[in-house]
Amino acid sequence: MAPPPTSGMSRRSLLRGLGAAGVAAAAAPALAGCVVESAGSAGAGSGSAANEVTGAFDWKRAKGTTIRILQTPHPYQQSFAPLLKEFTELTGITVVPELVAEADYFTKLNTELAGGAGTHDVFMTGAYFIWQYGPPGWMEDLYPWVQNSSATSAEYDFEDIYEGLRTSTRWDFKTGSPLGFGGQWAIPWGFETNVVAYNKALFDKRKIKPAETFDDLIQLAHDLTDRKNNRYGIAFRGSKSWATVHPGFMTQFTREGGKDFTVSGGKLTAAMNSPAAVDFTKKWAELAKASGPSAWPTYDYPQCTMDLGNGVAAMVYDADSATYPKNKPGASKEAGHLGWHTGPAGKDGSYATNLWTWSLAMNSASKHKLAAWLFIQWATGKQAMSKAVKQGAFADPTRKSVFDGSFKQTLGAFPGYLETFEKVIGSTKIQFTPEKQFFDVAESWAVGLQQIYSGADAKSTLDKVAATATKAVKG
Amino acid sequence: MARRVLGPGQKRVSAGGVAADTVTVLWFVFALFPIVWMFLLSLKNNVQQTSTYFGFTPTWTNYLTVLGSKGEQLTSVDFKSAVLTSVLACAGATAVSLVVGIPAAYAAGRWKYKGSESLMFQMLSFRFAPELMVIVPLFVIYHYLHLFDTTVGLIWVLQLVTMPLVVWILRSYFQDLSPELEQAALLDGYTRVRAFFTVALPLVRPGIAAAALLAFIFAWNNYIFPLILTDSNATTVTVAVTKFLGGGGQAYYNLTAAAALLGVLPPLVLALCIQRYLVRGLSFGAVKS
Repeated sequence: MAPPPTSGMSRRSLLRGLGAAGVAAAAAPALAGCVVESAGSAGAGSGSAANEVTGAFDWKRAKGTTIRILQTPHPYQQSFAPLLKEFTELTGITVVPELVAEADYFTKLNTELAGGAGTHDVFMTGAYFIWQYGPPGWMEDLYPWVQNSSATSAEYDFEDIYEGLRTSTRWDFKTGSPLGFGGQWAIPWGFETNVVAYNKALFDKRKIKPAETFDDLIQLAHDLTDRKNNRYGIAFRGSKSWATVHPGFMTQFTREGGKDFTVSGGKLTAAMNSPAAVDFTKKWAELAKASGPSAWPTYDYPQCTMDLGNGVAAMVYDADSATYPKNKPGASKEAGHLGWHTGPAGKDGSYATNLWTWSLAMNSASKHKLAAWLFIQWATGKQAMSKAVKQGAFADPTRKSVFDGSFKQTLGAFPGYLETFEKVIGSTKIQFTPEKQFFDVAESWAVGLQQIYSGADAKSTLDKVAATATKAVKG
Repeated sequence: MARRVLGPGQKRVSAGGVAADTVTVLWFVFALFPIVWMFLLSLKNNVQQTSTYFGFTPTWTNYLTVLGSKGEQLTSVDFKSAVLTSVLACAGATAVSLVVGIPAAYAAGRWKYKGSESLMFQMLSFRFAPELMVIVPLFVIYHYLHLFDTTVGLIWVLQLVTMPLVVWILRSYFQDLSPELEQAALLDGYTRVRAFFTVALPLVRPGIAAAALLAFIFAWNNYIFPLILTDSNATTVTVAVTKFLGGGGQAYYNLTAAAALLGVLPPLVLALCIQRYLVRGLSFGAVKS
């Protein structure tokens, strides 16, 4: 059992928190959309608590501290759970993990951060969430911590983390600014590229290979669809959620020349209705209808990967880390029969790929910032990540040295996984333009996609989506 | 041809009766099917959980996992402790609501004064408002008062769920109770308090049982308050069950089904134990003039 958290809130901080809470509550029901000024400090730059750490680096510097970490159940979290005692032995810091189901994770996290209580010192977050949680000052800028040799071990080697990942969690919060500038709001911990996983046994039996162009993918998926025998060609997400557009859709959309926004003079103009975007989106919706799951508008990644694992879907265009567990012995009906492929290249040969990274961030209202940083540093460091990867469920590690080392050794029976990763990693980054209304914009995009799937005209639907998006980012 | 004479308790079979029975049976099958499906799911292994319907090799392993150390490793919560916390918090919340709510319901049922209806509707409005509307301020207050992640804190916040229910249900019972009974007691020299305890209260006992059970079940099923206002120390069953869902491509629907079925048992047992009072209590107001 975990000890109850201590609360060191003053009356003033309570009132500030309540003020923030009032605004946050007014913005309900979409709690995940709350952006309010927090009771916590922004913690960036010269005012960072990192500057208070001086002298030689010492893992034991925060000995005796207890930190609480907020996580969602995930192979990354499960791979690290057995290692937490090693961290305690190394640092003398006790870690109290709190798990929250993925569906409600961001509701809890949003409340926690909006309340400014600092209950949880460290939390798991995705890169897109930085665009919402960062501007109100809810997140600690970790760049001063990385740069401080008194707080960070010389062995840490931040540059070993893939560049596309380091930049994905860095932003200056200015509209129109690209990622990779400003504060480092989180450290990538585990990540996924969005590529095609397929039933290799079926492909081998039929003597076919994965498609190299988008038009070939459409034809291949059509050929593999056999509704009478409950088999269909390709699964990808279709639910009314921002998460529908970010995996396979955004990857192929980008490869086919699409962009979400164009930036001019610091102003964003939605571009998901450009001729290339309309053409691609129309084909994508038709692909879902002709060769996708019959309940496509309800599909999220668990349904997609479940159908692949059960042999119902011949291909899945989604996160490699979500399809990876299905190939583990005993994990699914088709375990051992799966293979991976980059997915079709764009007309210009582009393998631009969108990514998702579960990263570790620090609550700016944390009262144990040094201990929190030591934990983040340890968990994203080479040694611990390497050990976690050896547990066999950690895909993909964010460090090149760990990928090339421990991870490759676990990939014996995963045909195409390594080749696919190496082919796309150089072009893997967040393909969206960073903006604070991301979730609203992406969800309305998903709704537009569903409408096109249902028969609406692609051009006029995307014109409306683009108009709404342009208006949203101006506000 | 002479009609057969029916014995005591026997009823003549009619086409309408058969049709009604058939519809009732079909309705039961429809209503209970999700429970049956969950039970079947809870007996499947990881591979068969999504690849089979009725033909599978049953195993009790999922129940052992949920209740054992493996389940605790997966969720960072001891499921047995979560059940105990739920029992304590819901029983505590129900008890507090009864202690405070019964006199409140009696007063609301017996006396009318300026603003009494508004007061009652204000209390009912706690049930209308989405919990997410008040959760952030509650979260801040709970930290300030050191109630975060405590069973006492849960008992307190669950009053938002149980109190309106108890007061509104019992008010109708007190309203249906003839005031002449208490007036007779007053004429006999009873005080108002004694008349309440010795005359009115015993007569609404079935109603109290029904209100208590409903309050307990509503408190048991509450999700948002324990999700936000507790961590591992005071996790309730509803929150603990969802932690078995997994994530990142690893879904444990079988464990979730097993945990959910185990989580249903305490209120189910309670309902069966006081079923007699429940039926009487729920029909109490209906037969009163």
